[in-house]
Amino acid sequence: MTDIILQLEGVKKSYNDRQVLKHIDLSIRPGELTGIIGNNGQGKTTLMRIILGLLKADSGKILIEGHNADIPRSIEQKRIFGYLPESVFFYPEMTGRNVLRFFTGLKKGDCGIIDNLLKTTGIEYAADQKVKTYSKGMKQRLGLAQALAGNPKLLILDEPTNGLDPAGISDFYKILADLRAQGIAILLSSHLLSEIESHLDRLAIMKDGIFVKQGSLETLVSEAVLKTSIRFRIVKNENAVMDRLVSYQIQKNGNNIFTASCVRSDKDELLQRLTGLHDSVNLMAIQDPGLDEIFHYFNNEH
Amino acid sequence: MNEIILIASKEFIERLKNGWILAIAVSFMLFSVIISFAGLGFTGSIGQPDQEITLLSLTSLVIYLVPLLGLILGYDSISGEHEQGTLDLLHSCPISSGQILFGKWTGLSAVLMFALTIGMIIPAVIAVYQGQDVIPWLWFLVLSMWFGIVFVTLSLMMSTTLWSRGRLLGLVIGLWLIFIILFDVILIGLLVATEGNISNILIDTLFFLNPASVFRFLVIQGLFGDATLVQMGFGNHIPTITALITALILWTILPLWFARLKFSTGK
Repeated sequence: MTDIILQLEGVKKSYNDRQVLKHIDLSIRPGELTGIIGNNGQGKTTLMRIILGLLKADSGKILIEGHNADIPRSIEQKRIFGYLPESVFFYPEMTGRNVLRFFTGLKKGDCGIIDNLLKTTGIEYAADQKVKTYSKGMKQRLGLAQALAGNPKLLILDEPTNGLDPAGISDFYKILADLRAQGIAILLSSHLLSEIESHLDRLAIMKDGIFVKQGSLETLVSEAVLKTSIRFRIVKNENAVMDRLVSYQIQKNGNNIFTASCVRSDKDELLQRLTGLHDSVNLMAIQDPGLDEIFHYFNNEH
Repeated sequence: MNEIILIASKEFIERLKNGWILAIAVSFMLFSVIISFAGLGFTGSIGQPDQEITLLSLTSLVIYLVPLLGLILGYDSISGEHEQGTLDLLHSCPISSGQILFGKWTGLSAVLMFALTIGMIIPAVIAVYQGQDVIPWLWFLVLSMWFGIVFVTLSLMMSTTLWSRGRLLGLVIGLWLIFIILFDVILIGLLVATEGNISNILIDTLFFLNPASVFRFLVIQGLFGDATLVQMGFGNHIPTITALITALILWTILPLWFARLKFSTGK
């Protein structure tokens, strides 16, 4: 229990008559990267703001390091968090370095780490430029540096890679990997599924204010009845090949190129059959279901 | 404490970099110099008038300009951060809403004090150099600063409603019009309409409801004493300095308290 940094039980929130969060349960442990995925307007940002104490939940329980969350959050409880909002803005006339100096001071952090933060997030070269000259990607990097000031135990990142170029996104996840290795837990939201797929420990799929599914990627893959596709080329004896694969769903993609689909549990058997036909068939590619398919499966199921 | 100083310093530097504060301070300085050295122009003589007359003339200038400066300084200090998205970042830091508010109030008040010092320093230094007493000048400067801080506090309180900047700007201009222009007109209208048959308690209450009236009386009483006010027709209804100072304290503390109640997270 005590190794859980944050625990939510039955958290609900409504705006006027609209129930934005219907029932949220969530646990976060040190060094874990939890991704909340969902379409826009499903309640991801509201949930993050409730965790931070910027909004009050209507009901439910929030435990921070095993203790009931104070309302408003106590200074000690706020110290746990580092926050990067979806669209981060800073004081335009300040330089990047002064922004970090300001927030590090507010978080009672060590100002000696500012150079290190600038270097880690890759904006050292622009440290003494005014923030108003920064691109969106640079502001996101500065936002991450700001979130790290004060040595948080849990980083809350709302759509953190918005505005980053592919190289920036790659750098960003490298930084997150280093932070996880240091035991920092990360909760991030995204709707860019392909980019976060290989970085997640746990996944929570949010729809209409509830987590329709949550767990590790492996668990979700095994629970979802998703098909694996194998592409192959038939070089001879097409009829004989088709007879052997009659129990599978086959789709013709082009000249002698086919795709056979089966549920994941039947994948090995299908592969064995295809390799047994090596005189007539050349294997081209095996495509397992990814986060995209998992998301759509659970999102559409509910 | 360090967090309050950090926020106050940020506010102070940010506002000073915004050139219009300095522009208002310099304009104020020009006006105060003109008033100080040409204040007797209407009598046909140019030169430095009596200290009391100079300060009385400056009182009108302060009553018109300083509330406007205070209101414009504070009206977007919280709502502006809300609009540009930095307020959530501040609230997510390990500081209380009270520290954010008090830091901003301190920084904005410091800007106002700085602008007023710039605005009055030249006529004050010359006047004192030419033999005038320094104490009335200091009394006047401190009172003017306090008067301005009341309006900084009022605008900060309004800013915690998190309304849009445009709406708040309209509101602070309206507030300035009510306190500085319309209040006296309404009061005189009331006296004329009732032919003076109006409860003294009501008049006294109305009087304390306008910080500009409180400031004006504090300056006059501080400089001239009760006798002048009796001559001016206020008869036996002269509030004591203690009552006036209490009123100004309440005008500072109450809006700050309301702002503190209004400005919190977790709603």
